Amino acid sequence: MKISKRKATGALAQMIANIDDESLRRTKEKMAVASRIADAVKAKGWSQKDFAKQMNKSEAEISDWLSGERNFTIETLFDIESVLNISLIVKTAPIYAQVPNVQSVLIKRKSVSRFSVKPTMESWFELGEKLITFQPQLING
Amino acid sequence: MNVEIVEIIELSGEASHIYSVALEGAEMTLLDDFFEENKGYTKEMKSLVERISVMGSSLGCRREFFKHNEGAPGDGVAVLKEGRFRLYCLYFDRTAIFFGSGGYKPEMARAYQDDYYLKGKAMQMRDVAAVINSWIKEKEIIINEDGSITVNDE
Repeated sequence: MKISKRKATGALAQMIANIDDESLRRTKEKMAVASRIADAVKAKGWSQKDFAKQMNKSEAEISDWLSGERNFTIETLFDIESVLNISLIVKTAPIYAQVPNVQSVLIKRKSVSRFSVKPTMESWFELGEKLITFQPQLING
Repeated sequence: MNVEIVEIIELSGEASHIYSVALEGAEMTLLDDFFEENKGYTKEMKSLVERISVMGSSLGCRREFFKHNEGAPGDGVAVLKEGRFRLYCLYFDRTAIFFGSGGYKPEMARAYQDDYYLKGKAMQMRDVAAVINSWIKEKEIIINEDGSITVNDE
């Protein structure tokens, strides 16, 4: 019997070398969400079948959800939160309700590029958090 | 069946040890073979590599990531799915996973048994699992809590 440690070879080695941090982060987040859902199902003492029934989905679909390969829609995440009584999405009030005239502040200071705003839910949450953090500097600066 | 257990350095991490096996006389592991054979499916392969990497570095081999009962009864063979691709494996707790090979499951196939090629890969993983399970049962190897392997030289 032989046991050894070595580096991957061929196409696998190439793919590992080409992994980009941002893509890896997204994959990790997807898998972490799946794990949080699985933990919550377990904490309730439910089987996947019980959870499927509560969600009005097939067991196969629930299995897909928990595999970590699924891109959930916001609606599905809200439904899961409701059924499992957990929080998967950080909810904050809309940005305009927290930082008055935030757009004009950003435009005047030409700082908008610092935040790399992308039209995704995730980046809006991120932007919201950054704006709250930087609010005093933006208004007083 | 003579196999060599190979730990993949770049994929193993703090959360779990990632292993594959090399069949007797082969230079590449079954995991290397799988990615070589399917390298044209860039999106799926990239996602699989990332998921395996995440298991190694942070989340471990959690049960929910796999589809179970893909081998002989009780042998622990599972599959990691990515779209229509199936990658066969055998994992222990959250800390050690042995990857075999796998392939594309055609839409027409209800189960792997319906596809000659995929069935071959699944049967190969069954054989590998039988060898590894027998080593564990005979205490020739011990899989430690952290997923590392100790060889019993006695």
